[in-house]
Amino acid sequence: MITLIYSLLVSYGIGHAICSLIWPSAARTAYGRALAACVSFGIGTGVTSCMYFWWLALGAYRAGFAPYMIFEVLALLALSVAAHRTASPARDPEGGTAAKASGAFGSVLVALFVIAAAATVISFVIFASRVPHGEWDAYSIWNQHARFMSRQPELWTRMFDEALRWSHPDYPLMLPATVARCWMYAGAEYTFAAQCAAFLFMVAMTATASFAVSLVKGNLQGILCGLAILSANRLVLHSSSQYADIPLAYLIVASVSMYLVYCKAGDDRRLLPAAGLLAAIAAWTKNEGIAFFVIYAVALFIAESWRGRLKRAAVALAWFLCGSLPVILTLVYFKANFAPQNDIISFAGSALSGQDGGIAGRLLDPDRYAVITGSFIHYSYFGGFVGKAGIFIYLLAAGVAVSKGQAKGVAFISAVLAGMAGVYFLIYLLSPQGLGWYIFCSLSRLLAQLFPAFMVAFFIAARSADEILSYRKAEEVK
Amino acid sequence: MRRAAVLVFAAVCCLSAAELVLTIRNWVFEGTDIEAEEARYSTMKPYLPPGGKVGYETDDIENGIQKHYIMQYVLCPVVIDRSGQHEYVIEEERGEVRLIKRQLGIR
Repeated sequence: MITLIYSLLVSYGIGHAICSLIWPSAARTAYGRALAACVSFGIGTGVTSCMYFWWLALGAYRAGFAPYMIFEVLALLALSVAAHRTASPARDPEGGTAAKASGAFGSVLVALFVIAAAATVISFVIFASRVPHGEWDAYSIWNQHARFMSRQPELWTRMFDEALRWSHPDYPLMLPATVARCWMYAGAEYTFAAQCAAFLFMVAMTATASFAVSLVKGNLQGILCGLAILSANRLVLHSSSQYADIPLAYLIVASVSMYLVYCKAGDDRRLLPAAGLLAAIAAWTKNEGIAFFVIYAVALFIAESWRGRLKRAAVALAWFLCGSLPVILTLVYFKANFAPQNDIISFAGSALSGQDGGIAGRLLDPDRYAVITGSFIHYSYFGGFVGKAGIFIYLLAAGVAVSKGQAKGVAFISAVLAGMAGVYFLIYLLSPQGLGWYIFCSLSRLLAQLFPAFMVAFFIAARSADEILSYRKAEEVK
Repeated sequence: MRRAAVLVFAAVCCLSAAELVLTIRNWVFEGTDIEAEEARYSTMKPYLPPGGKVGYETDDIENGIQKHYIMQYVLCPVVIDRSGQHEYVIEEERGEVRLIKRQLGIR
């Protein structure tokens, strides 16, 4: 068990060192550093899962696991030394002042957040203890791949056997490699490793969204955002099911948060490689992440060319792609050398023809549009009050208040999320699979991937609780 | 008014999270006990060809797919193919599993 914790610490340490290297001094405020600590988990997990994949792919397992462990420690030391040399002092500790200013009102919100967090942890533990190996997709896809990657490393490519097409061997390997790496460190297949990874991704997702909003919109607004995410019951269930959708949701919210910090830090380009790295890790997590990576790159280019010249946009895109390169190369190598063709691409051929009139028939079928639109609305309900139109009631009461700088971030996140929703809509529209079954199996999880980032955009657009409180205080003074 | 909206919103979010704890305790989980399945296949594991492919046939039409997936999860890295066209075949009949070496006709 200690080695399991050690493996997580090494992974986190690598992520933290990389994050420290690229985190600009302008964003080294209290919330900026808290956000950096949250995204470090994703960077560390993504980078070490790539390293573990290369250990298998290059046949380095023949030398045993000990050299790999030494290599990781050396990488951690080298990155830590480099990060220490470039470290710059923290700037204004705005978090402390904000917390003080919020007084009793803030204390009530913090107390409610703590209760909600405790309830979520209890729910997670109860659910995870009933399904220790996860739900259907966990043991038929993610944890199964992890077992192939750890039980007998010399036989790991057996997972790509034609007889196992049903287990989607084309799916990227971030999550299986993370779990397999933990098992290799621990020397045993603890179900706790996969549960622990699922739990940490859920915590990191909530914390990242909260701190991103706190950084842009104030302490209390960040707490409200965290509360809204914790109240969405279905996210907890998806997480404890050990599916890859919550890790992807975390990486999506972490990537878009980097754009918020980028705007906040006066367009410091050093944040764009971090955004690129996180978006690439999203692509290394699930195939939907590949669509996210492309949409993010396009949105970044358009946003930057909108704000200035094309040259500025091209430079921004180059920084973004530079950061993504190590992980994207890993993904390309995996897809080119190991992964079989994805079933959606396989279906693309049959999408051109079929009993329902082929691609043209499906595109021109108004019933399909109605069914998909209705399902998007139906599955947007994630449980709890927030899903039941609660956020819109809140928006009506609190109102919209967004500065020009904040509007850039909200527009960017909205564009990325709209692009993702559009891709999902198009796939449902064109798929020759039974529409009802396809939607039932996947749509809730697909929308869950976008929900935390949507919450971030929503709470940045809404009038902040800090602002409401300061207005009230000003009234009292008068 | 706005301050009340913030507090009500936060309180209801908190209640939603707490509500799950109360409901989840009473849920009936129909999932398979994978630990039991691992114990079930543990005796045949040493006889399976390492890194090979093994067939699987079952008379349980309703749960056959799920049982196949769980068997694959349990017996990794042996590949389990839902077919009888293999030298080694795991046969399931009325819940009883046995490993058959077909080529030699030995059970």
